[in-house]
Amino acid sequence: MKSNKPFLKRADIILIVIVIFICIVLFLPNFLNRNSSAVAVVYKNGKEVQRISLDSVAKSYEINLGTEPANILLVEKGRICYKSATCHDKLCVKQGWLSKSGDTAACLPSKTLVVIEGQSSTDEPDIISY
Amino acid sequence: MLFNNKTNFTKIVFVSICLSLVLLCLSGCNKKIAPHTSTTLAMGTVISQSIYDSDAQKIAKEIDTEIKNLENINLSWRIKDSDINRINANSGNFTKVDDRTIDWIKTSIDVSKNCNGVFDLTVGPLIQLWNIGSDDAKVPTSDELSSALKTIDYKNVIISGNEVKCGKGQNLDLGAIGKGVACDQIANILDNKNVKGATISVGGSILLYGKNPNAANWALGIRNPIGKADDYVAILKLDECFVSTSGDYERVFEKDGISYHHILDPRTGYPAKSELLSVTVICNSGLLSDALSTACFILGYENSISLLEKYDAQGVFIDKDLNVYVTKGIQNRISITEPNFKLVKGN
Repeated sequence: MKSNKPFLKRADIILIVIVIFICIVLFLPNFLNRNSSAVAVVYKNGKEVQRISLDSVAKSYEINLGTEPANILLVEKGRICYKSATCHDKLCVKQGWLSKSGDTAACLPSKTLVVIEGQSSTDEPDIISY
Repeated sequence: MLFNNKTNFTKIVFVSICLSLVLLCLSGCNKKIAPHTSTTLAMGTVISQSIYDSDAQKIAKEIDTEIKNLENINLSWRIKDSDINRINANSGNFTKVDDRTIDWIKTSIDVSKNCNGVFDLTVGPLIQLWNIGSDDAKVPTSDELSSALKTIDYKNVIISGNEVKCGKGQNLDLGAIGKGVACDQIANILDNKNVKGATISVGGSILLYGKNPNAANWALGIRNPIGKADDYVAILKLDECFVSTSGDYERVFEKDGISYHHILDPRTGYPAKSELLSVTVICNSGLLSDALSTACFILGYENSISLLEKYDAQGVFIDKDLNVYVTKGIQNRISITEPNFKLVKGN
């Protein structure tokens, strides 16, 4: 014989909503961290000289690394690049924008290096051949 | 009473657990176990290390030291008192060197024999003449080229015990194997430290070591030879191995509107006129992958197959028509990710 009682009462629905809310609150940080800001780490002569949280950049600006040959970095929201260099081949400038975890550009003559750190996506390869 | 009976309570708990698991999966399943990463400059290139080990920071420093030692003690012709520098300075006479240097020279000569000298460790004078990658890069005159070419012949390199002699006026240059040799030495360090997994790149040479903690294999992106450095055209799923890529997009020098790349053909003295944009070689030795990628770039796809077979190596060749030729052993491991490039399953 079928029961006429509803499967869920109003109070049960309220409880489920509360449970869902708690789940979301608990797991929200993980969702947010997945897109956590990439950090550009700048090295000069093998030493870290600057760490820039790229997503926190409000207005673009330039950094003169004070090297010989000269290197000027351009920092924008979410990305960074070697804007100009006085080295002979300018491979560092040709490298273009760096934004994803693992992106790297170096100026060997001036011994400077910019590396993007941060959580990489599972869609990206572990390493790229050069 | 909140629950009208015990059955409903059980259902709610079940629904809640399911929801939690879905959320947990959504939030966590796309996350990777993160390695310790470090990037440094050495051997005239960028060294990138990603090591999965609790002691990774210390191991990375040990690797940096080993690379510097290799450069200073063994491999660099530029550094005074390195093995190669001393052999060159004492050309025509025997010079006592490190046992490891002897092994690397022996293997280099073996590759030279098997590729009819398109890879030749006595190419030093030609490299120094062009000097591509420096401020002094230039297009040599035909007289300069002809006198440099006269000195190039690996058959004049003689090994006796732990001594090496190159012909008078010859100059050894192990630049075409140095980064691969570094990968071999790094693999030894990782073996000694019982590291579970690591990916290391020393310029164009890569070591995929141990197991990938995030997947069944390592995913190697093959660089887009006509794109930016972080663009890739294909992904290869590989187990532990050594990989080296040689491409015409690497060190390039432009003069009068003509672009000259750094892979010099010892038969002509000029940058190799290959139909290829890049060659990637995969095998179980860093030195061999490095030497073979240079040789294969000069030889071209068809002429490289037998050479790769001799060393049980595999290759990915990208030509100027954007065809991607892949040797048999890895055809089921590659997927093209860039639609302009066409996969050709070769021999």
